[in-house]
Amino acid sequence: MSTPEQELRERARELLEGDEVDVVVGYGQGNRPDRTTPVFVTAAAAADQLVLNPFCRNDLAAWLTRKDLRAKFPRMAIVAKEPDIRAVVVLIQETQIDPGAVRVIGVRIDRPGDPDSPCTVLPQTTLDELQQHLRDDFQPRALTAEQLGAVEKLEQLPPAERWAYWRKQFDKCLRCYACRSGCPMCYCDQCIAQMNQPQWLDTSAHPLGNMAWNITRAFHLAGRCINCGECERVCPVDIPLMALNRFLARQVRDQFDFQAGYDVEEYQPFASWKPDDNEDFIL
Amino acid sequence: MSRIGVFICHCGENIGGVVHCDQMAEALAEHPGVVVSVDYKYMCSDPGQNLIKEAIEKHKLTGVVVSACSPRMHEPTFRTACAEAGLNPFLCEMANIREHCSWVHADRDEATRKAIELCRMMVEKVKNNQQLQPIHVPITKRALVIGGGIAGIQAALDIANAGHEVVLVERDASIGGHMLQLSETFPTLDCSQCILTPRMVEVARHPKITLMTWCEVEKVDGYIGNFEVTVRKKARSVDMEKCTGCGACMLKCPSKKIPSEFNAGILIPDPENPRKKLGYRTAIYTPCPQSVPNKPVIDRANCIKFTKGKCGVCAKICPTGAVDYEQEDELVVEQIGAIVVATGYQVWSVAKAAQDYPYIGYGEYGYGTHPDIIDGLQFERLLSASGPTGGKVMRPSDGKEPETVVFLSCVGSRDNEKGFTYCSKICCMYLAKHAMLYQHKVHHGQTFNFYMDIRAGGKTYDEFSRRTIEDDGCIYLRGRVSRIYPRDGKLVVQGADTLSNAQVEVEADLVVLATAMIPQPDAEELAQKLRIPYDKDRFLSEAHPKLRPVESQTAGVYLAGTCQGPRDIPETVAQASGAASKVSALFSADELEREPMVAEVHRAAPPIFSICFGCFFCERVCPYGAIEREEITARDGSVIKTVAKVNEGLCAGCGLCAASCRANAITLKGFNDEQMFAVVNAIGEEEGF
Repeated sequence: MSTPEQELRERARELLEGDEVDVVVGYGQGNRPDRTTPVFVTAAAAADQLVLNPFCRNDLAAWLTRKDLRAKFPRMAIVAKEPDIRAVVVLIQETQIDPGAVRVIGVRIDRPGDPDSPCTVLPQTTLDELQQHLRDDFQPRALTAEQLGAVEKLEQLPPAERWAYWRKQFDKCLRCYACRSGCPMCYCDQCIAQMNQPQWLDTSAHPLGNMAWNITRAFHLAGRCINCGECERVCPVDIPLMALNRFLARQVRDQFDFQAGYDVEEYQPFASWKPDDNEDFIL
Repeated sequence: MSRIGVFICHCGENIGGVVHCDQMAEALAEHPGVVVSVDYKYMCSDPGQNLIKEAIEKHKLTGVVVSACSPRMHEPTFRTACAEAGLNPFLCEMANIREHCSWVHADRDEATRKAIELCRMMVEKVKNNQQLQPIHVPITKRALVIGGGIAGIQAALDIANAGHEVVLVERDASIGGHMLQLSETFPTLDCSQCILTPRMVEVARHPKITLMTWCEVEKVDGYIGNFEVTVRKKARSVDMEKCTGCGACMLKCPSKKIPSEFNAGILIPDPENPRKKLGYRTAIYTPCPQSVPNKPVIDRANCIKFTKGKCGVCAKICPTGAVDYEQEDELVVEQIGAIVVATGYQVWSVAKAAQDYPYIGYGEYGYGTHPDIIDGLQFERLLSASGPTGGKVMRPSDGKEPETVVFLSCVGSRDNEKGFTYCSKICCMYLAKHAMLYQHKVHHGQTFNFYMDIRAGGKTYDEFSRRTIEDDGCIYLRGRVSRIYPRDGKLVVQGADTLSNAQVEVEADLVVLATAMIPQPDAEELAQKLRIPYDKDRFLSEAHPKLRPVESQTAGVYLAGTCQGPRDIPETVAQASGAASKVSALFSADELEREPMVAEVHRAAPPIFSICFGCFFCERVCPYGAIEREEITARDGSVIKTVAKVNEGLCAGCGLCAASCRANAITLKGFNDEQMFAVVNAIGEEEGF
C-alpha cells in the first residue's frame, strides 16, 4: 500500500503526464526536517520532490494570483490543505482565477505542526466534490478548541479593554507587510497602504498608522478570511491577527449566516442581498 | 492659489436666530485661502445671489461656499448663479448650517462654533474641487410600454400622438386588460367596452405604435435613453400575416371545455341545455369578440393537436392556411429610450384550491368550495352584455336568477391578519355599482353589503354610493361576516351589524366577495429585470410618494396604473398620461444632460494599467447595473487584465462602488479622495486634534 506522500506524488505525476496542468505548486523538503518550502514541479519526473508531512504549513493558494507565475504557467495545480481549498473558492468568486485553469490536490493535515499528526490526500478531485467535503466534513472542525477559546475570551471583554488590548498589540507592528504577502486574499495590484494621493494610511510604524493599517486589513478580510492562519504565522512580532480575523468572521456568521469559501455559488454578504438579511444593525 | 468666497445666509431667523452669522463671517475671513466672507439675510434671494455673482467677478474667485440650508434645497440655485457669473458650477459647495446646525442646537455659542467648523470643512473641500462638465447621453426616441390594459393603451397613445414611436408589449392575445372585462363603469355607468374598444382600435392602427401581443419582456439591458430590450414573441401557432380573423377555427375547435380567463373562470348552466355550461372557450381562441388584434392563438396546453398529436381541425378549416403548428418562440431585440410599466393587477384568490374550479378562495367564506360564492370580477362578467349569460344575472350552481345577493367588502384588503394591510380602493365603488346594476336587472331582488367603511372619495363618487343605498335600496350593514355556509339551497351569511349592535343572518342566493387587488404574480420578476424597487406587497415603488409619483427610482423607467398601487380607471388614465408626458419631455431633446457626479475607475501606468484588479465586488453592490467589464489589451490584442468600467449613463452617483473597493480604484467625481481627505482633516483643526 502506498503512503499518502506517494499518493500525492502519483496525483501530481498524473496531472503533468496527462498535460492537464503546466505546473504543480506543492511542498518540498526545507533546510531542516521540520520545515517545508514551496516547490514548483513542471515535469512528471520531478514529482518526487513533493513531500506531505505535518510541517506543510504555507497556504499555497497565494501563488495562484501571482502574475509572473501565471504568465509562465497558465494552468496550475496546487496542493491545498482544507482551509486553502476555501481560498481557491473565494478567489474564483472574486474572478481572480479561472476555475477551468486550476486543479486542486486536496490534503488533510489533522494537527499542523505536530510531528505525529496524520496526513492524508483527499480522494475528491473536482472542486464541487471538494466543496462538498468541506461542508460535510471540514466545517465542524475548522476551528480548534484553543482557537475558539481565544476568540470567545476576546468577545467577552468590554469594548474599552478590547481596544486597549489591540492598541498594545498593534504598537508592536513593524509594517513589514508580511501578513499581506502571505495572505491569499491580499492580491490587489496596488495596496491602499501604498496610496499617497491622499495618504489615508501613515506608512511609518507608529501607533496611529499601525492601527489604521491593521484595522483596514481586518475589515478587508471580513466575510472573506478563510482561516488559513498565514498572517499570524508569518508575523515576526507575533501579533495574534487571527483572533481579530476570527472575531470578524464570527460576526459575519452571526449576522448573515455566512462563512467564506464553502460554496462558490454563495457570495459574500457585503456584496449580496437576501430578503431575510438581518438588518438590526441599521440604526 | 485658491481664492474662495464664503457666503453665510441667515435664512431669516432660521439660521440667524441661533448662529451668530456675523461672527462666523469674521472667523471664516481669517481662514487660509478665503478672500471674501460675508453674511446676508437671504442668500437665495436675487440680491443675495447678486452678492455671490459680483464677488466672483471682483475677487476672481476660484471657489464658492454658501453656508445655508440643505443642498437638496438650494444647491441648484447657487450653482446656477455661479455659472451665470462664469464660474464652473461644480466649484460651488454648500455647508448645511440649518438642518445640521441651527435647527438642532439651542446654545448660540456652541452652534456658532459648529457652523464655523462645517463651513471650514467645505472650504477645504472646494479647494480640491475640479471643474466638471455635464454628461451628454444620446436618446433613442422610441418608448416601450409593458402591458396593454387601459394604462398601457393610454400611455402608448399619448406618446405616439406626441410624435414618438412606441412598442406596446402585451402578454395576452389581445390588448384591453381588465377594463375590457368590466360591465359598466362607476360613477356614470357607461359601458366599459364601448368606451375602451375605440381606444384599442386606435392603438392597432396608429402608425407610430408597434403592437406586440402574445409577447413578453425577456431581458432589459442598458440605461435611460439607450435601453436594449429583448422581447419574447411566444409562438402563436397562427400566422398573423395570413389570418383574416374570420373565426372559423374557433367554431370548429373540438376542445371546447376550457374555462375562459376572460370570463374570470365563471361557468353558468346553459338554460337551454342544463347539462351544458356557458363560459367556456376553445383551444384556439381570441379572448373575446372585441379583441385587438382579432386573430386567435392556440393554447397549446389544452389543444388536442399538441397534447395528443391528433386533430388539426383548425388547420384544415382555415381558408388562408394561417394555422402553423410548427411555430416557435422568437426573441426580438428592440432599441428603446424610455419604458412605461403598466402591468396592472390581479384579483387575489384567497384560500385553498378547489378542484374543478379555476379559482381558489377564502376559507371561512367558502370561496372556491361553493359555486355561488364568487369574486367581484366574476360578477362583473355576469352583469356584462358580453358575458357568458349575455348580461342576465344567473347563479353558477343552477342557473336561477338570484333574488338575494350579499356583497362583502374588504376580503383580504385592510386585513392585517389574513390578507394585506392596504385598501384596494376600488371595491367600495364597484360593489355599489354591482348592487345598482343588479337592481336594474332584477327589480324584485334585494341586496346587502357588509362593509368596514364606505370609501367613496372622488368626484360624484359619494353621490353614487348614496344612490345605491337610497334609490336602489341596498341594505348596507357595517360589520364583518364571520361565516358563510350552505343550507337548503341557500347560502347563510352570518355577520355582525355593529351600528345596531346585532348579529345578522342573511339567506342569500349569491355571495360576491370583493377580494383584494394585488400585483401580477410575476411583478417581482419584472421589477428585477428592470432594476426598479417594489414594496412589501410587490407593488412597484414610485421615486417620490408625492412629487414623483409616475417615475420609478431608475431613470427612464416610468409607472402607470395598478402595478404601482390600487387605483380606479380615471386615476389610471391620469397617471398613464403623466408617465407619457414624462417620456415626451425626455424625448423632446436629442441628448440627455446628466450631472457629472458619477463614479470613475482609475487608470494607472503600466504594468498595472488600472488600480482595479477585477474582483467585481462593485458589480455586485451597484444597484443600477452601471458597472461593466472592460478588457485592457496589449498591442497584439491579448488581454492583459479585465477591469471594471462605469457606464456614465447608468451611474446615479450613489458611491457604493467607491466605498466597497478595497484598493480605492474607484472614486466618485465631486466627492473624490482628495476632497474627502481635506474635509476629514479640517474637522477639529481648531482644537488641534
